[in-house]
Amino acid sequence: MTNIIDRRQGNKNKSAPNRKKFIDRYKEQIKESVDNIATKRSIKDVADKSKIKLNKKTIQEPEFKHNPKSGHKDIVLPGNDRFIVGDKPAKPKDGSGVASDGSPTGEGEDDFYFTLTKDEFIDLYFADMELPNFIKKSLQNDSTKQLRKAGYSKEGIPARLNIKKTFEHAIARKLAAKVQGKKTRYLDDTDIRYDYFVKEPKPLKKAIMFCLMDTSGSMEEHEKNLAKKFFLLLYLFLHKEYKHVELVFVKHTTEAKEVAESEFFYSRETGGTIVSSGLELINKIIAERYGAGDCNIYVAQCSDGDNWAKDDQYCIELLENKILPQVQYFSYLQVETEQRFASKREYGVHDLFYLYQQLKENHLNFNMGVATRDSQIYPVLHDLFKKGG
Amino acid sequence: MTLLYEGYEWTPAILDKTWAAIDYIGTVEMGLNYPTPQLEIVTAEQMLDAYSSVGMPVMYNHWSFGKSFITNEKEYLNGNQNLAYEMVINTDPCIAYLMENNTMTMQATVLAHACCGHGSFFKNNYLFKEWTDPSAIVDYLIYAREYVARCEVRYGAGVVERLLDACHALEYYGVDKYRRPSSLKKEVKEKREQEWREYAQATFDDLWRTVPGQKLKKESLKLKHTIQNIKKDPRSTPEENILYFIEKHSPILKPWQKEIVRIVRKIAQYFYPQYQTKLMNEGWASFIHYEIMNKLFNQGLIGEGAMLEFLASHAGLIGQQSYTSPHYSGFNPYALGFAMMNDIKRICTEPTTEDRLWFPDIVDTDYLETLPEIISNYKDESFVLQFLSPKIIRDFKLFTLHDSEGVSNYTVVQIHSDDYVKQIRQTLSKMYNFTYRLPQIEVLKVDWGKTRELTLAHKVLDGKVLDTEEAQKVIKYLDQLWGFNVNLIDVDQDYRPI
Repeated sequence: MTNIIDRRQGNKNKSAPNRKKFIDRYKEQIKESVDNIATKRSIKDVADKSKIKLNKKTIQEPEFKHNPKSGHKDIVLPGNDRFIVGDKPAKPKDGSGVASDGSPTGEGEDDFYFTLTKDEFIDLYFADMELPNFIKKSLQNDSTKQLRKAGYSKEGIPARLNIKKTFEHAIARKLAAKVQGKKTRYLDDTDIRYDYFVKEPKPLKKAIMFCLMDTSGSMEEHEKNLAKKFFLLLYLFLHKEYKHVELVFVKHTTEAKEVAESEFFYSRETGGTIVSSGLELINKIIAERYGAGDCNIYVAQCSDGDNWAKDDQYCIELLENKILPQVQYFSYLQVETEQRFASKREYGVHDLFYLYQQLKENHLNFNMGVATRDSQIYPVLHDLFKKGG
Repeated sequence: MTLLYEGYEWTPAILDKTWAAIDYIGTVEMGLNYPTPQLEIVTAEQMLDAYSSVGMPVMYNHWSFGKSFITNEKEYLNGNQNLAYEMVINTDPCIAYLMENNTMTMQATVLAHACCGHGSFFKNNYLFKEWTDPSAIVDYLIYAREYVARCEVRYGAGVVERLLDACHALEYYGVDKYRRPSSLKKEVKEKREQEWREYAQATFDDLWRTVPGQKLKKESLKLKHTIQNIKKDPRSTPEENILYFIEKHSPILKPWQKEIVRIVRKIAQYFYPQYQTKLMNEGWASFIHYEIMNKLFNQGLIGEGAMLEFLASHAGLIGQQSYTSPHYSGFNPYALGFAMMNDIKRICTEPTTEDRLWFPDIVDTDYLETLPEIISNYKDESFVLQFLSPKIIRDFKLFTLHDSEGVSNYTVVQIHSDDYVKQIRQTLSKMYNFTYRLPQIEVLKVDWGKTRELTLAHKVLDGKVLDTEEAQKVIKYLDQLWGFNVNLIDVDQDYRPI
C-alpha cells in the first residue's frame, strides 16, 4: 500500500506569514495606494477588491549581474527562418537583448500588481486610528473575572462551609449504619462539604455607537452625501476594531426618531431643525437600554450646523448635564459647502460649530470638526479618533 | 487487461492501483531505480504555497516568498503555469504533490513524471549524489525555520529580515563548487603554533634590541605577521564561496547571525545541483512520463480518452516558442530536454548514417541502459556538449547571434547546417555553464593588518562588466555583513586588476 497522505485539511495558509511580511515591508507604499483608492471610490465599495500597484524596482532584490550592453557574447536561438551566416540583423532599439543572461527571475512589465483582501484593506486604511478614552472598562484588556457557583467540593475554607450539604451526608451515613446495625459518629470528616466556585471572565464590554444626523430641509444633497460618507466610514472602522459593536441610528428634524440603517441614509425629509430632539432621544435610549453602566458609549453627530435659535441653550444643557457625563466620547462633524462655512464665520453666525466650541474647551471627551469636501472627511475622522485623543 | 480507471474522478484506491501499475512498468519493465514515493494530496493553494517557498514542504519565512507567492498565484490563475509538473522535490521518500483538482489522468502523469522521472534522476545523477542528502533535508529545513523564528522573537523581526535580505542577495555565491580540503585538526594547528613559538624563541637574540631602527622593526613585524597568519588559514583566499568566507571570518557577525548565514548557504548548496541540471532533469522526467503513459495505453490500462487528454497536456508542456514570438523567453527545458532524450533513444534503437558518424558509442545499444547512464554522469553543460545532435539542431532551427558591445547589429555566426554542428553545440553548452551565466566574483583578499577592508574580485570574461547600480546595492549588503569597508574590483583571469 503506497503512502498516500491527505494534506488538504491541515496547514492551510502556510504562505500567510510570508504575505504579511511582504505587506509590512512595503506598508508605506501600499498604504499610499490604499488611501488614493479610498478617496476616489464611494465608501460603500471602498473595501472591495483593490488592485495595488507597486513599482517593480522597489521590490526588487538586488543581485550581481552583468551589464547586458557590455562585452561580447554568443546566443543560440531557435526557429531560424531567414538567416544565413554573415547576416547582420539590427539590435532592438530599446536596448533589451533578444536573450538575457538567463537570470532566474523573469522580466515583465514595470509594475507589480497584487490584490488586497477586504480585511487587509481596512486594516491599512485605518492603521493609525483607534477609539480613544478607555477610562472605564477597556475592551481589550478585560482583567476582571467573576466567580460562578459550581457545585460542591470536599475541600475548602471554613467560610465556604455548606452546613446543609454536610448534614445531608451525615444523615445519610447514619441511616446506612443503622441499616447495617453498626454504630457511627454524629459528624465525620468525610461529610464535610464546601461551596465550590469557578472563575469566569466577565462577558466582554460592548461598545455602542450612536449616529445622530440632521435630516432637515437645510441639509441639502451635498451635505447629506458628506454625512453619509462620514457615518459609513465610521461604520467600517468600528466593525474592524470591535467585534461587538452596536449601532443605533437616530435621525431628527424637529422631532427625532430611531431608525434602521437603511432608512437612516436613504429617507427623504423636509422641515426645520431642533437638535435637542435628537439629543433627548439619545438620552432616553441610554437610560432605557444601556443605563447599567457596563457599556462604552460613543456618539457621533453630523449636521450642517443650523438649529432653532431658542433651542441652543437647551442643547448645551442636555449635553453638559446628561449626555457627556455618560459617554466615552462625543464627536461632532459639521458638513456644508466651503462658501457657506466661510460666510457663516464672516457674519458671526451662531451655528452649532460656534455653539459647541465651549463644550470643547471644558470637556475632554468632546471633539469636533468640519468637512466641506469629500476628501476632508477622512482626515477629520482621523483627528477625531487620534490615538489617545 | 481492465482499465485502471474511467472518467476523470480519482480516489485513493484508484491512485494506489495506478501507482502499482506505473511502479511495475518503471522498475520491472524499464529497470529504473528511484526512491519510494510519498503521495500528498494538496489543494491548489497549498501547491502554490510550496512552490513559492523554493518548492520544499518546509521553509523559513521571508517576505520574498510572499512576493513570489503573489506572482505565482497570478500566473497560475491566468493559466500560464503548469503547476502540477513543476514541483520537483529532492527528498527521500520522494514527495509527489497531487493537486485535488487534477483529473485522474493528470495524477497518473504526475506520478510517472515526479516519482519515476525526477525520483530516478535525483537518486542517480552524480551531482546530487555528491552534494545533497535527500533523507536529511526536510529535518534540516524544520530546524532552519525554527531557528529563524526564534531569532525573530529574540532579536527582532526587522533585524533578521535585513540579515536574510543580505544573504539572499549572495545566494549564488554561497556554494562550494569543489569539496574543501579538510580543515586542519585542532591538535595539528596547535602543534604548528607551538613549533613557531619555539623557533621564535630559539632564534631570539637580545642583541637585536640594541640595533637601531629598521632591521629590528622589520624582524619583529615579520614575526608578528607570521604568528598572525597562522591564526588565519593561509589557504583562505581567494575564496569563491563568499557566504562561507563571511561566516568564518566576519569581524562583526554574532554567532546567531553566522548561523543564519550558514543556513542560507546550506540551503543554496542543496539546490546548487538543480540549477545545473534543469534541462536534463525535466527532459528526463518528461521522457519517462511519456514512455510510461504510452505503455499504460498499449497495455490497455488506460483508455483512449485518457490518452488524448495526456497527449494534449504533454504537447502544451513541451512547446517551444520561436525567437520571433513575443512570448519567447529562452529555451523551454521541457521542450529541448524531451527532444534530446527522445532523440538519444532514436539513436540507440534506429540510428541513421549520420547518427553512426556522430555517436558511434551509443548506436545500437539498449536505450534503457544508455539513457540512465547518461543522466547519471552528465550535467546540462556537458550533456549538450556531448549529445546535441545535428537532427535536433535542424528540428529546432538553431542559429547563433554574436552580440558585440557598441555594435548596433548582431552578426549571425552559426546556423543549422552541417558545417556548424560542433560550434553550435559549444555555444549552447556555454549558455548552460554557470561560469558564463553568472558573474564570477570571489573574495580576493582582506587587509587584516590595518583597515580590514574586504576586496572582492570580479573576473571579467569576454569584456562583460557588472551592472554597477545593482552591484552597489549588493555591496551595501556586504558592508552590513562584514562591518568594514568592502571593495569590488575588476580583474582578469589571473587576478590582475584591470
